[in-house]
Amino acid sequence: MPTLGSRIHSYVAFMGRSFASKIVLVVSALLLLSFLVEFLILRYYDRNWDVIVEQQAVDNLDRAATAFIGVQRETRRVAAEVALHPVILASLSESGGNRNEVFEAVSRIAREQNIGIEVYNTQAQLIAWDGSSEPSHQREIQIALAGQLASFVTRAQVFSQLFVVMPVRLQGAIIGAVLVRRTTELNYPLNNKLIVSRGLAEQLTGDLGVEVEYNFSTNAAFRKDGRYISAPLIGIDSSKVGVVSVARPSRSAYLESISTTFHSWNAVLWIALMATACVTLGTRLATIQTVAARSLAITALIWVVRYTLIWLDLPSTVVHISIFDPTYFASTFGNGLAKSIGDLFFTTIALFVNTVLVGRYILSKDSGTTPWWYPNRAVFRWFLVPVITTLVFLFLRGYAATVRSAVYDSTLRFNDPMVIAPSFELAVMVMSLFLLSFCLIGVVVALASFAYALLARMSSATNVSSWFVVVAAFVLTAGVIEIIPSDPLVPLLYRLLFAAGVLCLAYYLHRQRIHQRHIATVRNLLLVFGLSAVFFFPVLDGNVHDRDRDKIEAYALDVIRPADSWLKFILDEALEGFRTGETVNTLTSGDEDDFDRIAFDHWAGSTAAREGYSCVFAVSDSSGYEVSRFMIGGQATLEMYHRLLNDRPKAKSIVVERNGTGVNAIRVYSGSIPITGDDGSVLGYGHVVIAAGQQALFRGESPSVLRNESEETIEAFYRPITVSEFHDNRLLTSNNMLLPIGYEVPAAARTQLTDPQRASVWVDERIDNTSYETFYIKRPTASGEIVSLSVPQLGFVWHLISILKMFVYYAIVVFVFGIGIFIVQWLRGYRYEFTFRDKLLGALLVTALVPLIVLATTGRQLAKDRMLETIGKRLEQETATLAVSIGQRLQGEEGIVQEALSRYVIDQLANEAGADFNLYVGNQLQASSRPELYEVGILDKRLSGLAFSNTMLKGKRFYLQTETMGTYQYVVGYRTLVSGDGRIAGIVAVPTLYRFEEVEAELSRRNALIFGLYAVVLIIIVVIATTFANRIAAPIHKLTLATKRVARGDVNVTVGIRKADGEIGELIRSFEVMTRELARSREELVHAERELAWKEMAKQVAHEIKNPLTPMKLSMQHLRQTYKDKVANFEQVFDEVSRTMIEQIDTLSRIAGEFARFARMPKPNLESVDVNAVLRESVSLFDQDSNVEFEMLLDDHLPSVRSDKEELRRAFINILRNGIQAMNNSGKMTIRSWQEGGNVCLAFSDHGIGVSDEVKAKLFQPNFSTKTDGMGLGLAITKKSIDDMGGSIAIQSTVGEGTTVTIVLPVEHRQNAPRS
Amino acid sequence: MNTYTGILVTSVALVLLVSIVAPSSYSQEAAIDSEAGSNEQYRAVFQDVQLGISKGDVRLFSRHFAAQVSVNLRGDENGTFSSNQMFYVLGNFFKSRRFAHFEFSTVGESDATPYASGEAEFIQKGNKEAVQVYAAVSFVGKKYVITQLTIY
Repeated sequence: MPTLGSRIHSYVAFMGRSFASKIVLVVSALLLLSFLVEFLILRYYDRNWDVIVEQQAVDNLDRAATAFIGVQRETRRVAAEVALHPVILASLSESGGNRNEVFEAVSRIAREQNIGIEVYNTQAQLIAWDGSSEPSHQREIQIALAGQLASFVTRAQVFSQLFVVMPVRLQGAIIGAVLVRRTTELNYPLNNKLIVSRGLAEQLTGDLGVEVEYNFSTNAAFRKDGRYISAPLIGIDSSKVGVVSVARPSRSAYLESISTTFHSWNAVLWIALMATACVTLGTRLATIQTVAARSLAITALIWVVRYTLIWLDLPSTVVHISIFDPTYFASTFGNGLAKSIGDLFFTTIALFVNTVLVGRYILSKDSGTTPWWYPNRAVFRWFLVPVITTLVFLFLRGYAATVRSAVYDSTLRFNDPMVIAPSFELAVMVMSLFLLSFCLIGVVVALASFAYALLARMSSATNVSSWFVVVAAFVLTAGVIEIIPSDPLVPLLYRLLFAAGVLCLAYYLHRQRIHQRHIATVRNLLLVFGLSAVFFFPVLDGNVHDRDRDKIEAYALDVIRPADSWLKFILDEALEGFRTGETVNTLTSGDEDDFDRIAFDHWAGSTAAREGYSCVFAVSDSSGYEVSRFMIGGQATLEMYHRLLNDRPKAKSIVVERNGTGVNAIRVYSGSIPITGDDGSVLGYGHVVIAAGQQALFRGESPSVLRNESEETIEAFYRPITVSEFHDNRLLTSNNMLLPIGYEVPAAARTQLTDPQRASVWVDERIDNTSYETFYIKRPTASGEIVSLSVPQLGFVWHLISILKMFVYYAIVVFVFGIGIFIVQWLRGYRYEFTFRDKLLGALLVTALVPLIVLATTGRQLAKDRMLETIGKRLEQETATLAVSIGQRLQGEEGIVQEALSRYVIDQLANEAGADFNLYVGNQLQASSRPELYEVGILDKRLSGLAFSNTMLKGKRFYLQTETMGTYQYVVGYRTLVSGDGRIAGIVAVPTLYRFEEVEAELSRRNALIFGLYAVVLIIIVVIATTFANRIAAPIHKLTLATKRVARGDVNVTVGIRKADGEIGELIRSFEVMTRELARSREELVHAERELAWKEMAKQVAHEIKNPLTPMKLSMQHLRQTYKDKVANFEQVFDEVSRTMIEQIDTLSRIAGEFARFARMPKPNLESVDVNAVLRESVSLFDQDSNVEFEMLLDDHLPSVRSDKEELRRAFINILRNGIQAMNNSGKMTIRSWQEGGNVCLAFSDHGIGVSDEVKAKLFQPNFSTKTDGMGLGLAITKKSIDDMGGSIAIQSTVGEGTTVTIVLPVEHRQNAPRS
Repeated sequence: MNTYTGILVTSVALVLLVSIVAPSSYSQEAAIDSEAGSNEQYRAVFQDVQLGISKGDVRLFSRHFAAQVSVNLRGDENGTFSSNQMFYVLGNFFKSRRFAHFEFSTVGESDATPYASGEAEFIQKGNKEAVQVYAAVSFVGKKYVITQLTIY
């Protein structure tokens, strides 16, 4: 046994010469170097900061200016491409082309390049376009028509755009001009799927780490404050188009960014160092002989590595991906083990590796002795069993708590049926939980086996009573947990089912173990995975449902919470926003364009905008004249605003008014604030008006496109929530039109809410054939008022789709896991041989799945097309209704009454048609029921080029166009309005943009249903294909096994299939006939050989007897002759003959004695015998000369037995020899010894061919043998010997699997007392 | 040593591990109370919030978080997060910002959900920014917990 010192020494020596040590040395040196360089650089920058900051600022400014030049150059290139387009050239040439083709070409290029294009003729008339129209740029068009290039940048409220105008030339002559526009800046901090562009300034700010600001105004001045340096932006025509300003880097921020860079680099080095150390250390630890020490060391290594990674904040420092973002999931437990999805994933990977690796070691070769800690006293063993079962349920609670935390401490949508493909974050989380389930099942099954082993006293045989005790202990503990104050987190029924599941698996694995089968098989792995899934789904499903209810309760609290303080805060924050230096600068030195956008800019950055309140943001000058205003939402705010304009307060003032009564009341919060310059003079006033209904949660009236995307709003909840208010238990208002007037709070809720201690209650109710789960809560500030939030109950389909989805995720995880194992095995040189069944199953699956995939893809596309068709029809109908309404109300004798389109009329028309719409006259927007998007410039007021071409030029009465905004595609229906004289008076357009949530929900619902359908079909296919493959391949498989047994010498084999027909049936029958014939021939051969052996023996006996008989006969003849001849020395002859006769008789006696001993065993010489010692001696005889591996599992505390040592040794040798021969002198033989009551038990297990029951019955009969080289006396003699010692011998055998010979010997009487 | 020793040793090791890993608590909404606590109770909560923001240390007031907290942070996260998530979300927010001294200027006590607001200043990447802080509490599970926090 090596000492600790020698181990350390050998490890150090190993490290000294290994490749790994070189890596460790190099990486350590690099780390030291990195620390040194970082220190020096930081010191250098700190000391020379004044010089460096200027240089850095200039470099940054240069990069910012160059970036703009790059965008300009690219836009110019595209403009040149457009100017040379043959269709455009043809349309602008004298011959003239097809204008529709120009529209199509322009539209195609614009979409490909994500730009806007306009084409002008020489009269500066617009020929074709795609993209927005604002602002007017006639001056630049004239410049281009004069043969010059021009570029300029315009800033709208949301976007800033770069324009490049270029002449179109044909054979040297200018025939027109093209204008190309590209978005360079997003001036509004929006982040949703409709607006995805990232401005140049934002991009550079991210890249450079300092604030970058582009001011695209020809009058823009350099920033005056010392924090920035500025440079002019020059256009293509060398004119100034604006100013770029870059903030000087701050010393602390700059030094911090350097440190961060070094930190990331060092992190990579740390990972390399740890990986190398782990591999070398792990390799060394794997050589530790003792299983327990090795398991513990590996476990310790894995968790030291895990915590080191947490301590170094790895790999999140190096890999900046969403799974390390705590907003998806974060939990504080484990000191960082689950502080993000990524961390939880790494923790479960560590746990999984730990479980698998240690499990692998445990299942590998053992040293074969009883552990030192094994409690001899039964009382300790009985004490350990409940401890183990308690541990099992603690594990279960830990697991349930982790799943609960995964649901509660996250923003992931686990079971949202509308989501088919999981997001990356959800996929990683689900995979982590699957792995955790696997570990739970693995460890708990091991503990169950351990509990059994304690009770069965380490017996390998199945002890049914011990299993009963284990089951009882599990059931009892599962019940006792219920009365412990701590919440068990899973219900009693689940705990009982869990116990049943793991005990069944433990028993199944135990059976495999005692039959000497491999436990680490793919089938067992899949069993554990399967059981993990079975127990994972309900825990997750239950938590998701609980979480839904919790969310609804949280929403309810929001609804009943008085919003005064919050709205006052928002107003205050909005007013304070006007006091920023930027506003002061704009009011002091800004131009008209700057004034225009002050209000929008402030609104865009406010909480009011983010929360979607109806509001007015405005700025007036010092004399109260409005210079900037942005308004969104209802009229209530506007009235208040007009009153505010007259206010010129000396300090911030806030007024709250309440309009209307009851639940329809609207509160209007308004305020003004003076904006003062540096000298204290009043430059102007900021005004804000915010209006909100009673239900503060439903305050949003601004369009979705103007709001940041958030999944945490009540509207975004995946089940539609109905909010209702009750007074004196009668319905006042609800957003669910199905609730009848006078609807009352259900009696069940009413009764419970009368209890003053109770504030809320959950009730299941059914309204208009729909089942709801409803949460009723008393409004604390108003007596008799109750608010309810209802969601439709989750039906069977919902659960089905959720489970199917989890099944698919799970199948993917298992598949990926399987592929991983396959690759690892392949790299290790193991080549998997595909069986006939595998190939058949593969072929069946491919045959079924390929058309299914094709069908699914086509079906999805068809469903999408059908939905578009439905939307198209709906739009056609809506535009037709609107066209009629507009014709009746607005169309006079001279066509559309352009000046009469008041907001009121437009709203009324939209309400009647049930759809928002736009009205175009010519190619310009005349009116819109949702004007906000046009006012802020997100949507263009000019009619789409293709729509103009198809309606106005081609004369189509209805035209459907798919348009794109950000990543969202929506459909617009255009219908021409025809005047009495037949000319097109206008176009009415209905876009689906305003109800994109509704369209998306419908699309998701359809996708979910299609997914569910195909998932069911997929499962059915897999089940059918597997069943067929198994049925078809089973006879072949059994035939193969039978053939293998025959090859091993077992001819008494049957395939065991009775109903096979066709070629396979014929094959099986022929095989069985062949084996029967073979068995008969073999029996005859054995018989003949045995007869021959007996004859040989008879000959030998005869020969042996004959040898002394000859001298005896000759002696007697000699004596007789001497007597007849009266020879003188007769006495001497007599003496000689008689001596010879005696000698020969002795010889005969000896021969007879030897044969007698052969038939009759000598009397046993009983003495005190150490069975283990005899076993070891016997095994040592074969250990050297055979290829068999002997596994000795001997109880070191075994008492002595009273027996004949020699006879015992002879018996053991006999059994060992038989086993070795049964295994063809190769394989593994296990020898166990243990004590059971007053007996010592021994078991010899081989993996040989085994024997049938028929043969087994004859094994102890004399002269019976299955071998050709024996007398058939061995086992008969052994049995007789054991019987003589007062013991017993038994044989258990399974054909093809092996044989176990069990010997029971009585313990020597004086040692029958329990061991100390 | 044999198989069972391995199982025992590994089990003990894993139990020790799981006792660290398994969360003893998770974010779960306590029962909604129909009554309210005293002024001193929520003022103590606001004092802790004030101290925590001044020092940029979320640990000073994380124990007051409700199971779900609505949060709105300037240049950072926006949404509803569990108390456990809040610990890291705010931790990350404070990590990149240095707050100057901060005090709540207003404490609203008129309605059932007390709130406090005030103006704070922080420095991020060398830039000084002024923000409004708003914290609202609710009486849940016999104590006041923070349900809304805005630093914007």
